[in-house]
Amino acid sequence: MELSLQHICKSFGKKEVLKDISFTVKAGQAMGYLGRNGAGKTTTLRILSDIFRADSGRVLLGGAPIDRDKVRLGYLPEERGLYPKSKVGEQMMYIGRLRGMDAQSAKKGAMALLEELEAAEYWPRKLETLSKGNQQKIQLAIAVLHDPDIVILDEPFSGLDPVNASMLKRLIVKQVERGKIVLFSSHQMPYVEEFCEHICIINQGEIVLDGKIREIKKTYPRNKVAVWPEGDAAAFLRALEGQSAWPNVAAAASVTNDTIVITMKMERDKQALMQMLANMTLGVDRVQVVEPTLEDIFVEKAGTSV
Amino acid sequence: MKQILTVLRFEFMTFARSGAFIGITIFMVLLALIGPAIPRAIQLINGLNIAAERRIAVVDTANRFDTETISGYVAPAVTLFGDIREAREAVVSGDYHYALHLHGDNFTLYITAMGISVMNMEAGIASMLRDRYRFEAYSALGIDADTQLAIAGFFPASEIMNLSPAGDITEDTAGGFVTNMIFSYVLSFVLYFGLLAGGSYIVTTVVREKSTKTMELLITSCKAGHLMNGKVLGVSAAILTQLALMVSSAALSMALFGGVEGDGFLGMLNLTFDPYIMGMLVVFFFLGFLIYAYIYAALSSTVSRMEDASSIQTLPMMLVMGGFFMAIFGMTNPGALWVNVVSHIPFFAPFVMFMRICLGTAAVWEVAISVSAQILTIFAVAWLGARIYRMGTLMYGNKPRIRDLCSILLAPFS
Repeated sequence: MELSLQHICKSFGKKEVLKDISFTVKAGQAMGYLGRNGAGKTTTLRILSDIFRADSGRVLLGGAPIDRDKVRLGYLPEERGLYPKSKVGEQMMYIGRLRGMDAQSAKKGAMALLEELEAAEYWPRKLETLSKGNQQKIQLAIAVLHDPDIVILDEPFSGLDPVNASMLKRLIVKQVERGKIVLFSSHQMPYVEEFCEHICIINQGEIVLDGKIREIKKTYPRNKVAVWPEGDAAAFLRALEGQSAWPNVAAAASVTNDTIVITMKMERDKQALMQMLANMTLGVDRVQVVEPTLEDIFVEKAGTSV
Repeated sequence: MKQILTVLRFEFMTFARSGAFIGITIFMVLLALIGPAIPRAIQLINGLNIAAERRIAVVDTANRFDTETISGYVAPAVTLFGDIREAREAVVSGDYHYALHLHGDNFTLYITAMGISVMNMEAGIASMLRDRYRFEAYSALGIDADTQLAIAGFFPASEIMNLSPAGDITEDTAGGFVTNMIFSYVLSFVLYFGLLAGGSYIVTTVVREKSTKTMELLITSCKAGHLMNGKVLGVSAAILTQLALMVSSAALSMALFGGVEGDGFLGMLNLTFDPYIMGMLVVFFFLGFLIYAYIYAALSSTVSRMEDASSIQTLPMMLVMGGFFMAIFGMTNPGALWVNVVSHIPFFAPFVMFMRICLGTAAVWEVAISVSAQILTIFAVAWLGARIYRMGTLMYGNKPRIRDLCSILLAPFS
């Protein structure tokens, strides 16, 4: 089963927000949908959630036009919001029932999710008495309460402390493991990198990068090597620069936190550099090829830092 | 349908459990219990006044009246005094409530203390003196006592014949015309405040759902039309429950305390429970509420800030007020052509047609037409409202202009 967006266009007035957007997400995978603020991420997710209709293009599920009356869809909007004066349990059951659950299964499912998120004690409490992070946990629980086939999460990690973020991560990973189609947008690249096989970067309404992270990274030159020497990194680098082969191999080098990062002139100079390191009298703890981070890729494709 | 019922139940429970709803319901129920009991209370208080042991010292200079005669006109405890000074001292000492000094045919001095009113006493004594004067005058003319009684007992009979618009004789619905006017007035107020309170609640909940960003979650969980219908019906059900409690309380109070006979204002307040009018109140209230509730829901979906919520209520509020005041003014001439026309316009019918029903000037077929027109209007405003609601729920920022609403209505459904 896969979810495909094909040639989606959407304008608001004269502003063209989405220009021929196409991508595919497979079941049992999480796709990170990345882009700068205002790039069109939320509009895409809203079209997927049927909040907006696309001006043109199609949304397919398993190759056929998606039938939203039959497909269970879980959505965590970017703009979080529930009833502040209502009790957590009541509103979880309310949303569950709106999504077709009976009262008993809604209650059982909601309690199970709250327990998983270590938030069961909040069941009888009014939402407004909870911290922002805990309110967000309730929101995420509501998004997956009805066991959706497709999970769409808009900035799920924003505003969460590391403990809650880790809890949330486990919940999302569980959805992926259960074969759900998971699509989420985030500005927190480490989370995306951690459990997304697939990313899609949108910039000014156009998809500028789409593919598996590992394959995307392979397309980048592997001409950076990180070296962790046993002793003083600065002294180690000076000794390395003293070797006669250095000017032929290295284009640049820097020391950061006891780590030396060497940029080679050519990717194939890796063997020569290894030989130079072997010739050193000073010891080396670890050597590793430095891959571009997702943030590096994002900055390159979206044009600015997040 | 299941979604509508879920929203309905949630909205009903949320509204019915709110402090404002409970407070207003208790207040209205108390009012419904107390209102119809007022004539009985007035009668009881009057009775207590009469029955109270008001001791009266009477000085009759001409010796024309005995205690029995005076007691028959004012109060039982009458004592004749020979001297006005003694009578005055009796009042000052507190042994007597009043002292009367009857001078000749037509003058009485009332002596009272501690602010005790002589109003009832005055009327009684005046009647006594008038009757005595007439008796003496007629006797002087040679008219015997029986003839005098026959003349005094003459009272012209009257009867009110109510005609329906078709010219048929109809029964007077609850009492007199004025009583019906009071009834209609009171129920118009109930309708007026019910519509405004319910409408205002709908606006508040919709705008709050938008301002707290709950709306986006809701419309991905439920169809916008279902959401609006559930909300409108839930609030309507709560308001109708409130009305049912009020009507039941009024019915109970009327059964226990109604049916008071009396003249003047007391008689006008003599409200009796009329199942037809009460049934029509519920029908017209429900239909009117639904029409306005859909308008309120649709308009409120287009604003996202609480400070804009009041301005968006202006249009429906003007319509509600228009209907209310037309009904009030129409009461003075319920048969006028303009009243007839306006009573068939669905936005005003809940007030004006209902007023005509209360006053007995609406034929059954007219009521049927009015109800049908309102039902059709409900479907129309629900359909149009759903279009606005669907788009309005995602409108954030400045409140919309009329042309924005028109463009939503005319736009293809996307």
